[in-house]
Order: sequence, then C-alpha cells, then structure tokens
Amino acid sequence: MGLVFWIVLAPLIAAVLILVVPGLRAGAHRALGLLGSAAALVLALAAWGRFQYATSAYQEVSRLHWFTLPALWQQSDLSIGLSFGVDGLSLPLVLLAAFISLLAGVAAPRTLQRTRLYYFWMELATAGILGVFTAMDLFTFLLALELSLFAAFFLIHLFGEAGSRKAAFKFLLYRGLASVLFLAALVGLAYGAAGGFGTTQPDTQGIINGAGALTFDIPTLTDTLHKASEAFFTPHARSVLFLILLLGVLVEEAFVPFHTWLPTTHEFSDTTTNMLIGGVLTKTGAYALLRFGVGLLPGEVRHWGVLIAVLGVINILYGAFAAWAQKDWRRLIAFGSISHMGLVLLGVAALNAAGLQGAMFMMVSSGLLTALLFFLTGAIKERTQTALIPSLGGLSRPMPMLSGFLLVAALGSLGLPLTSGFVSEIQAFIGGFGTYPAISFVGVIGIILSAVYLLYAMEKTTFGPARQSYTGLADATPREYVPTVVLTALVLLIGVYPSVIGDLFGLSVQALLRIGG
Amino acid sequence: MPATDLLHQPYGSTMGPMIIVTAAAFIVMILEFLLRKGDRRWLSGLSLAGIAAALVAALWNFHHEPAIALNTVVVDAFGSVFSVLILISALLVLLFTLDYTGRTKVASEHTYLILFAVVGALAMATAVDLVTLYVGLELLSVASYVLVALRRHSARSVEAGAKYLLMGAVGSAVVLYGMSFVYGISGTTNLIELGSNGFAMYNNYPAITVLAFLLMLAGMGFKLSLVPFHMWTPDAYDGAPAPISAFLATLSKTAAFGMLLRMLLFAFNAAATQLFWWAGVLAAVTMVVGNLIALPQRNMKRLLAFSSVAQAGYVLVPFALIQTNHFNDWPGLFDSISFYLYAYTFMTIGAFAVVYVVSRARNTIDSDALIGLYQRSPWLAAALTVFVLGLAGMPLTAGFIGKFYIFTDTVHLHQAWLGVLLFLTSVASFYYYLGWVRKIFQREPVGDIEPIRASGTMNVLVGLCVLGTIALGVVPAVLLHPLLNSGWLY
Repeated sequence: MGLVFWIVLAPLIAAVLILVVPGLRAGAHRALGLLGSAAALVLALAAWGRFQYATSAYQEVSRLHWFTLPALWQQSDLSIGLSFGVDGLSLPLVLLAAFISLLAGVAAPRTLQRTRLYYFWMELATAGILGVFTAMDLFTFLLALELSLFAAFFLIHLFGEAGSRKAAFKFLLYRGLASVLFLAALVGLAYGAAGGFGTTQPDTQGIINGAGALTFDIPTLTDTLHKASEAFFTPHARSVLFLILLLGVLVEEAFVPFHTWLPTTHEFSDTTTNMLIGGVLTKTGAYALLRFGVGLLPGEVRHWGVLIAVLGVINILYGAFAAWAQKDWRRLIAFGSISHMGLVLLGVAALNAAGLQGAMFMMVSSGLLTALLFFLTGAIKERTQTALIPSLGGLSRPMPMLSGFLLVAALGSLGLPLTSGFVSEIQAFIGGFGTYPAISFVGVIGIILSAVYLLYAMEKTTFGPARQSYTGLADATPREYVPTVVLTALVLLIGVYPSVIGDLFGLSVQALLRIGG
Repeated sequence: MPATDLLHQPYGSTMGPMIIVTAAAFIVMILEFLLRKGDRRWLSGLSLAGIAAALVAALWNFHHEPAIALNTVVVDAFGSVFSVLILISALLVLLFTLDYTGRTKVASEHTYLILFAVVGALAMATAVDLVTLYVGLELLSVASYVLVALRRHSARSVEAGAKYLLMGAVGSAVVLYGMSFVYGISGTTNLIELGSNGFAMYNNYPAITVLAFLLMLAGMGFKLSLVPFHMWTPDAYDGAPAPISAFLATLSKTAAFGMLLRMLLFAFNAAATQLFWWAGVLAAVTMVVGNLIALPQRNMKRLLAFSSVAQAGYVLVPFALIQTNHFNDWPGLFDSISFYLYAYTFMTIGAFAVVYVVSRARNTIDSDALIGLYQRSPWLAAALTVFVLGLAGMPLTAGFIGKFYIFTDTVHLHQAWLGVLLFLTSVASFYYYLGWVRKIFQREPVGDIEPIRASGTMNVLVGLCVLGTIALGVVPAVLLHPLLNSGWLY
C-alpha cells in the first residue's frame, strides 16, 4: 500500500477506535483523536520528503478494487475502487488539511463535553477531506466529499451554539446540492470520455488508447480528454457539463450568490469546527475546479474565461464590502475568505502559470489565515463572551499576545509583504492582468477594501480604552500558543520563502497549461 | 396439451418454493383450528421453517436452467432474484411478528395469512400469464387487507384496513381493466406469446395500447403507492400493526415491482420507446412529492410511509430507462432495480423494527421519542442511524451504492435529468432523515434515563438488517456478482 493510502486511513482508524473502544475517558478520546491527525500529518510530511519534483504524475499510488458495476456501457463493466495518490496540486492541500486538523484538535477546549462524538466526527471529517484531496478516482472523490459533508454537519450541529441546528441544515442542503452537481458533471465526463456524448461513436480500434471503455480513473480521463476532447463531446455537451461543474464549485465554495450558508455556518459553529471548515473544507470546491475544470476541460475554462473572471471579481468586491458591514468577527472572517477565494477564480480564469500558481498559493494561504483568525477570535470570545466587534475594545492591554497575533493574522490576510497573503495576491493578480487586464484592475480595489475592513475591525477590537470588565482577563495559555505559533510560522514561512510549496506544484501547473494550450 | 405432457413438466423447479410455502400455510391453518391456545406458540416456528425451506429451494433455482411449466410459471434468474428477496423479507417480517404478538393481542390468524400472502407474491414473481399474475396479486392483496385490520379492537387498525381495502380494490380493478384490453387486442394472456409477436398487434391498435399500458401502470401504482396513488399509504402504515407496516413497505412492494416489470416488459416491449417514458414522469412526481410531504412529518410511522413512497420513486427510475430500447442494456436495469430493492428491504424493515421498539418503550409514536436514544440503548441508536443514513444514501451503506448504480444508468441511457432529480430529492430527504439522527444523539434533558431493551428476537432481526445494509454497502459484490452472472429472463 502506498503512503498516501495510510494518510487517509490513519484518521479513519482513530475514528473507529474512538467509537468502539468502551470505557474511555475524555482524555483518551482526545489522545486518540490527536494521534490520528498527528499520524496523518507525519505521513503527509513523509510524502513531502519523498516527493519527486521531476514529474507531474501521481505519486505514492495505491489502488484498491472494490466492486464492479456490470454491463454499464457497451457491454463493458465499470470497475469501482478506491485509488489514492498525490501530485503537485494535491500535496500542498493535503499538508494544509493535516496541519489544520491536528491544530484544531489541539485547540479544542478542555471543557469540551461529549468528547467521544466530537473527536469521532472530527477524525471522520479529516479523513473525508484528505480523501477528497488525494482521490485519483471520481468515485473515491465523491465518496470522500460525502463523508466530509456528513461529518461536518454533525460537528456544526452537535457542538455549535444555540441556533446551530438551522445553520447545520443550511450547510447540509447547500453542500449536498453541490455534491449532486459534482456527481452529475463528473459521471457525465466519464461517460463522455467513453464516447457517450460523441458526435461520432469513437473508433473501436481506438485512435486513442482506452477510448470506449468506461473508467473513473482521473489520470486516464485526463489523458484521454486532453488528446482529443472534440472527438468525445459535441460542443454543446461539453459546455453543459462544464457549467454544471462550475455551478457545483460556486455552491461548494460559497461564492456569491450562493454564499449565504458560509457566514451562517461560521457564526453558529464552535471555534475548532470553524477552523476545519474555514481552513480546509472551503478549499475542496476550488480544488475541484483546478482538478476537473482546468484538468479535464481546459478548453471550456478558456471559453468561459470572462465569466469566471467576472465572477471572481464580483466575489472579491462583494466579499470585501460585506465583510466591512459585519459586526460579528466570525461573519467578517467568512466574508473575507469569500473575497480571497474570489481571487482563486480570477487566477484560474487567467489560465497562465502565474494565475494558477496564485490560485494554489491563495488556497493554502487563505486556509492558514482563516484558521488562525478563527482560532484567535475564538480564544478572545472565550474570555470576553462575545465576538461582536462593537462590544470589544482595548484588548491589547489585558491580552497583548493574543492581540499581537491577531494583528499579524489580519496583516497577512490583507496581503502584507513577507506573509503568504502577499505572495498569493501578487501572483494571482499578475496572472489576471496577463489575460484580463480590465477585469483584474477592478479586482485590485478589493485589496484596498480588505485593508479597510480588517484594520477597522482591529482598531475596534484591540485599541482604544479598555472596558472595565475586560481588564482582568488572562492572555494566551501555553495550549493556545501551539496553534497560534505554528500557523503564524507557516504564514511567514510561505511569505518569506514561497518556493517551499511553490516548487511542489510548479511542474503540475505547467502540465495543466500544456494541456490547456 | 396432452395429458401425458402434464406429468412431464418441471414443477419442482418452477413452483418448488410456492408449493413449500402453500403446504406450510395449510398445515399452519389446520393446526390453528385443532390446537389449543397454549400450544399455538410453535406454529410460528413451523412457518419460519417453511419459509426457510422455500428460501433454500429458491436459492437452489439460481443454478437451474431456465424452464417453463404449463406455459404459465417459469424458473429464471429474474424470478429467482425476486423470489429470494420476497422470502428473505418474509423471514424478517415473521421474526418481527413473533415479538409483536408476544406483547400485543392480535387475531391469531396472522401467521398463515402472511404465508398465503407470500404464495401470492411468489406467483407475481414467477408467473408469465396475465391471469396467473392477477391471481397472485389478489392473493397477496386480500391477505394484506386482513393483516392491516388485524387489531380488531383498535378503531385505527380497522379504519386503516378499510381504507387499504377500498384503494387496493380500485387498484386491482384498474390493473384488470388494463389486462382485458391487452387480451382484447392480442387474443392471448400469455406473456411469452405477447412478447414474441407484439409488434403486429400494437401497430393496429396504438391508442388502446397506450390506454392498456397506463391502466396497468396506474393500477400497480396503487400497490406501490406511487404519487398520485399514494393517499392511503400513511393511514394504512400508521394504523396497521408494526410488522405488517414493514410487510407492506417491503415484501408487498417487491412483489409488485417484479410483476410490473415482467408484465410491462413482455407485453409492451414492441412499443417500449413510446410508452415507458410515462414511468419516468411518474417516478419524477413520486420522488419530488414523496420527499416534500415527508418533510414536516413528526409521526415516525407516517414518516417511514412517506419515505417508502419516495423510495418507490427511486426504484421506478430504471423503468423509465427501458424506453431507450437497447435490449443489451436491459439486464443492467434489472441489476439496478433488484439491487436497490434488496438494499431498501433491509433498511426499511430495520427502521420499522427499531421505531417499533422505541415507540413501545416510550409510549409515543412522535419522533421526539428518539431523543436520547443514544443514552438509552447505544445499540439501537447505532442501528437506526445506519438505517436512516442508508435510506438517505450515505456512502458505505447499501443505499448509496443502489442510488449510484441507478444514477449511472440514467447518465448512460441519456436520461440524466432523472438521475439528477434522484440525488436532488435525496438532498431534500437529508432534512428529515438526519433530523432523526440529530434526535437520537441529542441529550435527554431530564436526569432519569431508563434504558430501552429489545427482546432477543428483535435484536436478531435488527442485527440481520444492519448486516444487510452495511454488507451491501461495503462489499456490494456479494450481490452484484450473482446478478451479473444471471441470464435474467426466460
């Protein structure tokens, strides 16, 4: 079995152990949960160490045959299995997910009730997210996506604040809808690659190897579709499939106008769930856009490029304006993350090296910063009992460390040089200007806006006269330093030395572009 | 047919399971009259043994070459797949009744009534003559009417029985009306003959063909509680004894689906492209309406009733795909229909069983009874979670594989809108299914919590259903493989 297989399996094993071993105390649940995430992280780091930079192909591959759906297409069977592997696009996100999952586990408060359920769902969600990023097979991808959906639903529902029930169902219905759209688009693509929607039936001798046989294997599909996508689809069918996929991405990523579930979810969830959702779960849609949109239908990305770029800029601006108007820190972070992810759309639409690299950087950077912001505001809320910006103020006096790190996170988020935010924004905009200068120019306004809303909120929170009731509050505890310092260090590391992850996806981005060109 | 030929028919293979169950039913019925009350307990054991023997015979038939007896009853993979499922559900329902009658006073005739219903169901799965099929349908239906009204002293049970009787009788009459048209334009009731020379007959009477098709579809729609013929379902399921609700939702529907499929396929294959899209319309309406009316339900049995309406819509989706008329693709559709029915049977009987145990212990059928189930009985809580997640289509359960299989069929046969609708309505169903899961894991606010204990029989029953749901979800090959290798139709 390849290494990557165990990355997904480790949290799954931990989840099962937590659930079935009777008589465990809260501490044991916590230990098992952390162990599962830590194992995934160590294995992911090992995969990084062994990563072959000279190839854009999948590495550390494991394929498990599961079952066969008989006679699905032209009397040939469809083999269904679980396949895992990493390439340059997925490894940075796998690392991100493993880091955030472990840190979220560490961040969970000691006072947590029902630890068995909590760490069970947490590890299940982790396994699902890791599965999404490592899937080499459409079925595996969809399966892992569903797993993360259900697990996150229960995390929001069972551990959120009063009112989380509605938020959880909203989350479930929106993300469930996105899953259905993905399912339709991806299975449709697989049938297309087997000749299902062709203008002509594919040559049975096969101009292309593997044509006419139905497969869910992503590398094979990529290969087949790239060589001659015109042979397999009528232009109409291709556009329809791509638009279904794009719609799925918009819902999954909470892009305007399908964004309302994200602020609600964040507002009612607990801190650690927010870290997991904001940090990694809202990166799955963008990953799908890169993997399946750019990877399988590059021609369509080019064809609909203006639409994607305009959508991206709308999200950058709308997210920023909406964030400005928020009173609750968590809603502000949610809209800020929507604004950031809009930049991913712009980078993808540009369809050049800088744009795609910027999109990748932005996914990782936004994940780290969103998680950090949620953790810090959560820690502050634990002390002040409120996350409402107008009710806070003068916190730099009682808690200088928390306020200081919050400032670093905010600065990173608005794209200060030497932070990961800067690297991502500059790359994505360079890419954007290369292809759509006018649209990108409008998008740049978003950078100014992000400075406005973040600094405005910072000023209200940490500066000014301290309230009487906040004077005696304690600063960060040693346990709280762990996620804070690690996440800040990663943000700065990427900001100072972008190649640390940039080299990982450099070649994969080139491969995507070769396909697209 | 010369008299000597009558002796040389393959009765054993074609009618073996039916003969065994019939024999068991008569023996149980006669002993029921002769024995005193105290001695009747072991009659249930006898019926279980009869069903088990028939199940062995039906499984044996998988290896049998297709054959036909008296031009009326066949042994083929199609019949065997449905017969085995019918007998498995009968086994589970009998286990269920065993516990139920131990606690609630019901008329003691239920044992052999269930057996007679099974005989009817088996006939619906294996007969290839419209008359025989109809006799099977009536045998099943009449027995069911009585079973629903089994709690004679409960007004609700009797009312449910009366409603079911009225609606069921209308359904049967409509089916029969449709059959009479087929006979009128073709001169035969034999499906094999209809299948081989349908073209000429239908070309002459296109309008009557459509009429006959729709009448037969609508009539069976009553039995399958497809929208808009579903009105009786919640009342009947709610009023009937719990095991009988499970019986109506699974065994009765399996048999009806088997009969519908064979009947329509043989009688109308010549006009498949023009006719079967009606099934698609019905499936779409059933999926949408079934899931929407389930949303506000608080009564657990009524919710399961509406859920069974929606689930029937999912199973009907492959019927609509028959219109594409690729003969080669039909076996794939049989695979997905029967796989989903197997999955659905385990999940539904299991859900009814847990709901019954919980509602009896908490003395209410409102879904609030589920609150705190996790603390009262972790085992039942886990089992019910598996069942409802399965019905919702959660991966690693049989429900997901079943839906995924149907979905791939729809894409492949260019009716993807039905597959997308299937998953969209499933997303809506998350709302009510996961609402249950939420209550199961919600903490009971009051301090004193009485654990719920199920009897041994119920634990076995629930355990078997959990096993079926998870096994078909994790290793679907155990069922897909035999389906793949079966030759299907005679």
